[in-house]
Amino acid sequence: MTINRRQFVVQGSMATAGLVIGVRLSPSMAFAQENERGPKEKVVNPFDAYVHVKPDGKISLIVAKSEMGQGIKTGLAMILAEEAEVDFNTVSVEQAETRPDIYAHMGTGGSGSTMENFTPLRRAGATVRALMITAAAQNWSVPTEECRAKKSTALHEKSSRRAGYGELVEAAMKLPLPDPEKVQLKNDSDFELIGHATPRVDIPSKVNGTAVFGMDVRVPEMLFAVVARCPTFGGKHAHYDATRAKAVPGVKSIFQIPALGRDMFTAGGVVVVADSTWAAMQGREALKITWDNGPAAGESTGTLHTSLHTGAGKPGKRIRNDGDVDAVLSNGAKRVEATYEFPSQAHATMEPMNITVHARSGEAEVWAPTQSPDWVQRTVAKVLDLKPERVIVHSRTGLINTSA
Amino acid sequence: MSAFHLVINDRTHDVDVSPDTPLLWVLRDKLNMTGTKYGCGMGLCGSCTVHLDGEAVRSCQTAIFSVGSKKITTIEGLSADNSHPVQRAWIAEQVPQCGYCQPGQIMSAAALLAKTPRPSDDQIDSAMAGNLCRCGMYQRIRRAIHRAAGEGA
Repeated sequence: MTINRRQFVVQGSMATAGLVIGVRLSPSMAFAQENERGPKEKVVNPFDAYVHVKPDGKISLIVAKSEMGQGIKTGLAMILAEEAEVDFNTVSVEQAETRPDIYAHMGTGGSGSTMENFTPLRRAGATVRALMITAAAQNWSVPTEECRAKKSTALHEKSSRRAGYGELVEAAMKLPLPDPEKVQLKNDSDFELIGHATPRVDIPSKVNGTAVFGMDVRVPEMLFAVVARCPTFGGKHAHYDATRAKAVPGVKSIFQIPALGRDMFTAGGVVVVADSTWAAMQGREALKITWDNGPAAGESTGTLHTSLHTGAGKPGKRIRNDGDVDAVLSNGAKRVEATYEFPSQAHATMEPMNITVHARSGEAEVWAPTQSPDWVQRTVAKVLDLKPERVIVHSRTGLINTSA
Repeated sequence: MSAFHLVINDRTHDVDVSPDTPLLWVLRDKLNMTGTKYGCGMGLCGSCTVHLDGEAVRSCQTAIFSVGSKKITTIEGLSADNSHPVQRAWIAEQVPQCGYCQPGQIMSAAALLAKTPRPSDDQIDSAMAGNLCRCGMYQRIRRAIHRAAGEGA
């Protein structure tokens, strides 16, 4: 198979039967976010999604997009199915492993998953369709232009011949990949899925209790931990007395953890580990802690309000100055002024922040409701002093803005 | 620690826990029935709603000793195959987004419809007021309850 290194490749490392097409999805935002994090690791692989057409004709899209109820696992499948000319229910979207070496971008955010991936996924779907049509035309020795595809089947109407995608996979694998930017996309007026309400695939499990959120992960003999946190940002505990907490039935262990700098986004605190969440909470309740409220001691809604008002009254940093704003404003017939205030807002997710870690010898397995499994991987690796690749991270379904 | 004999979704379970343990944590941590959700632990969000003899209660505020012989129904007991009219209506109206609050919403709605088969908007709002949805799916929840009522929940 010809490899077009610009956007598509067949991944030898994904040793699976069938046709695998590497896709480059989100470019801009993901890079911008990585740059904010400081020195970024070398991106070994330019792809961040893979389309796998299996020998039975079913298609998996393997992509690092977390389902948070925004419907991404439904929407991306719709886009791919539309152009590939397959039934929506033959496409499944699988959560990619947390492997930054295989998936160039692991994050989900900024409301960009549909917008940014729309065209690349249409091209990927259209590539699948083109390969299947070409494979069929060659098998039948008819011109490609006389063939079309519908419902996972290539058709040559003149000779009433048809072949399912499954039968064509092997032949399609031997074909050169078309240039993804030149592959023929469908006309908007021919869309049967895009723009048409499609039931979300994640909803049935969310009405009967079977959806496994981060909080619902259970590992045999696991313990449950809660953390007593300093009530102020940047504060820490000065000292604590765990005598009463240790006496709570079910409490196994109590220890302190430090905050891990800005890049790791963790606060420190006093941890209570127990054989149930309830016992851990009772233990936390029984702790006697003296806090060192740190640099934010004395801050309140009132002080923030005052400091924002003071700051807003000072000259700002000018980002754009088209024309002459100052002159126009000073000569205007009428000047309208208004002050808008917006409170500090917590994401206030319904699912409390949580993570499940199974630390084993030389490796760890992690389940978390997260938009950024690669950040989770790096953070857990640092805390446990492991290589990031020895930390297996599973993004759980879940939550709006429960980012690690 | 004390022994408790519980009837949950028509099956019996024996647990040995401290009597003040909330039903929520018995379900989630002792019996691994994780469909019932922990949101606030203070009876403010409704995510942990279950039925005790058909009444909607907050399981995070229900100490295990107070359950007695009352029958417990959780989201898992409503129906496993999504055949309960409230579940069907929830799917038809595509109610959940993140879905975390929905087991609680559904249990509150099912309890309401059992008592008030044709609730008005006001009755719905009043019965559902204790169930928060951070995704803001309140209009869909109301529509779904009306739909379930029409189908004889």
